[in-house]
Amino acid sequence: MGIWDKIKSGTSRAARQNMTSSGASPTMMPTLSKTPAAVKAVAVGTAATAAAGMKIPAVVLIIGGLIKFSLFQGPSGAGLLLSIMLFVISGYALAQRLGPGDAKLKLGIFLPMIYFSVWYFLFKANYDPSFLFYFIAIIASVTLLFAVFTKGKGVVPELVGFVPAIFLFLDLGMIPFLVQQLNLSLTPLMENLILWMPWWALLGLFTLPEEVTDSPAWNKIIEILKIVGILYLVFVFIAPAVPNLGYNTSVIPGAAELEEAQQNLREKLPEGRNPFLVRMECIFSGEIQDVEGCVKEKQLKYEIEKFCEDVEGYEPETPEFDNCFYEEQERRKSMTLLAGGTIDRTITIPTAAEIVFHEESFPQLFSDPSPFPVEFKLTNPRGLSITINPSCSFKGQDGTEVLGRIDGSYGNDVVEGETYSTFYLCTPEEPLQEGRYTMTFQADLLNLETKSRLQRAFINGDVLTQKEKERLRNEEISKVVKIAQSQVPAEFAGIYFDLGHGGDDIVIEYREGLESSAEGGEGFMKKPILLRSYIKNIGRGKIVQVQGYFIDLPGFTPRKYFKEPGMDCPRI
Amino acid sequence: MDLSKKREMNRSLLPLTVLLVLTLFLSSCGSSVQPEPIQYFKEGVKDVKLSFFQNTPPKEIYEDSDFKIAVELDNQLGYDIKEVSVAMAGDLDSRYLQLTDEEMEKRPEGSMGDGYLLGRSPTNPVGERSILEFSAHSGRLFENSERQELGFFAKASYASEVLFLDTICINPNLYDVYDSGCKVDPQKSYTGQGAPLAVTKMEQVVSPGSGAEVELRLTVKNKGKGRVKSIYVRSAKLGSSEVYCKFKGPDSRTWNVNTFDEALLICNTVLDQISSYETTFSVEMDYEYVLSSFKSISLVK
Repeated sequence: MGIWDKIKSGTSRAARQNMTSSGASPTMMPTLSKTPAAVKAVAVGTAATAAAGMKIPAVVLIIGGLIKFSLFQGPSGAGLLLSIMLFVISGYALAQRLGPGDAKLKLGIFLPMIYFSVWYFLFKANYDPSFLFYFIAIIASVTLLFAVFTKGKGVVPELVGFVPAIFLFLDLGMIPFLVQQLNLSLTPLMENLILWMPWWALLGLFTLPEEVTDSPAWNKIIEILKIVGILYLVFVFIAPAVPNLGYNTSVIPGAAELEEAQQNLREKLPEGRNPFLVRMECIFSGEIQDVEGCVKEKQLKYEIEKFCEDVEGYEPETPEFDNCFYEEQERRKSMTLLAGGTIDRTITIPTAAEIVFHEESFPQLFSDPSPFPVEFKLTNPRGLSITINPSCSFKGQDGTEVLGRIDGSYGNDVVEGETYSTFYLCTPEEPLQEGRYTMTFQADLLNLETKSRLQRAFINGDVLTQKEKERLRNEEISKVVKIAQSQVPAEFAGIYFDLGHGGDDIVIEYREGLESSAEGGEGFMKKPILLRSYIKNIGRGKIVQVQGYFIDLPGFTPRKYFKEPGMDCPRI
Repeated sequence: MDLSKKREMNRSLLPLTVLLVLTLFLSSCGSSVQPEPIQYFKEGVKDVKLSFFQNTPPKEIYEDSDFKIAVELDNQLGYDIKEVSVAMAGDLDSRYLQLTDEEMEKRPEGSMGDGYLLGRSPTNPVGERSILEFSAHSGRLFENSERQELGFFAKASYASEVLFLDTICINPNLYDVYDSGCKVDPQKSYTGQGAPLAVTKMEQVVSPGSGAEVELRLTVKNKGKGRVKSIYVRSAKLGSSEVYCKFKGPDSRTWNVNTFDEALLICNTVLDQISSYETTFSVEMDYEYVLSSFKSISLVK
């Protein structure tokens, strides 16, 4: 029974009561314009009940969405269950948001949700064309029947029903999975979407009714928050659009795979601040002219600060910290024109290390001579011969440093297996005094090796016309060479390189008969081919030394070198 | 409208809806292929079909394994095709996918010889198809990569012909109002001549008077899915007289640019009659054509 029906029945009930009560007059029929207090109370009470009903699912979505975003980042059964519950609740929230109307029409919202659930969970997202033909035909029939029975009024609720399905996919991490499965380059847009989007909370915000509370001030605040939410989406979407997918087969991941992909991607991305907050800072500080530039600068500053503090171990606002900041800033400036690169998504198990402090086993008394256990785990999928050199130290609040002695290792442990895990027992060389200490465990990993790759297409620049070159590029080459940048495994460091005419151009024009060129002399390339490369620290530690690097380019001879002073030229 | 009437209406709608849905399903079941009348082989736009044979290669191939790439070529043109060859191109880096030199390009074996496939005709209404098999070997994945997407093309090139033939009315005496001959159609459209290269429009421009001339302007288009490499006008006749034709642009009988979409072919001749008459106009063109088909497979561990 809708709100209007309740009000009408309330009105007529009040009228009947008025007629039967003592002193009632047949002429004193209550009307809507002269609604007696009893009827008004019924009407207001009913409206209040309706408003409260509308906001509950939305509020649950907001709270549940924030809990999911804060506490269930990695893949977990509880996180998945919460996502499914929020999926169902979002249907109710959207149904309420559609406003007063026939409840049967609102059932249409759940139809697409049911279709999606049946297809995704029951049929395991089967995308076989023959199956899809029948499935879509059945869905279309049901949809048509519903539309006919509702005389077309059920179409809008049905369309709205796709929104929860889309949000479920986004929440579980569809975008990072597409990046991993389809080798899409990670754009700044995707980074922002992955890291900073509490999807269900956002949907909950949008589904709140217009009058959430009795207080006009609070309702205004919530309206402003909705606008801010929309602005948030707009700002986060500033970066270039998701790259053209252009794939031939669709790969529909399972829910667990989506979450795992999201977690994998989060671990590989550098830490940064929420881009929305950074943008707001830039705008309110007056940097409206070049917001993007301001955001990049602030993010870079934050990364360098994190590096100097967490990796180099310098305290902020100390001369060492300032020096580190300046040096790192200068070093990164020189890298701005160097080659781009992207994480190689096909290597799902890169070489990685993890340090786990077993704090529950740490001695609590300063007089306790027990060592501090630290677990070191190494993933070595390629079976490299890695030497591990562990060390530890303790730094007190007053700045005093006490070196530690590692037991359980003779130093320079060589590991060759695919996985390695050991406990190092760190014992302070001198007794620790009462107070707080920061324990640092460091593992120097030697003889690490990493390889990157790059794909290019070569065309004859002499024979082909410009139109033919464009056709080749658009119709053929772009289908084969999908990633323009070098692909680098997400390991401790990577070699980023680019070969070609610059700007990550996937096509290289070569000229035949160079030595006998009619231009005279040695002849020259129509377009110079540049090889640019640099080694980047992409882990959370520090590169101690680069022992050497080699770029495999059979058939190429370098003509000129441009390199940093003191650096050796690469072997090619 | 009260509730009972609404229910009545819904009840009557229900069987109608069910009938509609059932009709939809039944109409989509088992459509039978109607045989084409043989006189239509040289009409419309037809293409040579180039495709990878089902599951050859499979969607996923394992490291260091041999597999076959089968390409099907089906000549559905109203003309024979000759000098046919199919070559593989694309992500054939020897690291991931290896084809020997001998395997990179092959010619189909037709009933009339290598590199020759018959077109559709009254004696051969289904055309001719051939399956070419390429032997390939998969390499190893990069480092400890889990999978690698590989894309490559099968490119088929062939030479064929297209014949444009129409009966047209020519009136050298444009100024004579009482000419009781045929009716001139200054502009005509065509749907194709059974090939991917098609004459789609013809315009007739007559210069009347003594020494009347007619200029026939033909719009030649590439309507197929591939590319025209070159076109050569082998002959053009108006009745039994040879007509000189040339492409506007190159000003020759040959179009030799690899990016042909559309061209104007202009044919001129002197008319030897003074009153309107009907006659046949024919143009025979030889052309070279290239088709490609893309395939993506995954190399997995």
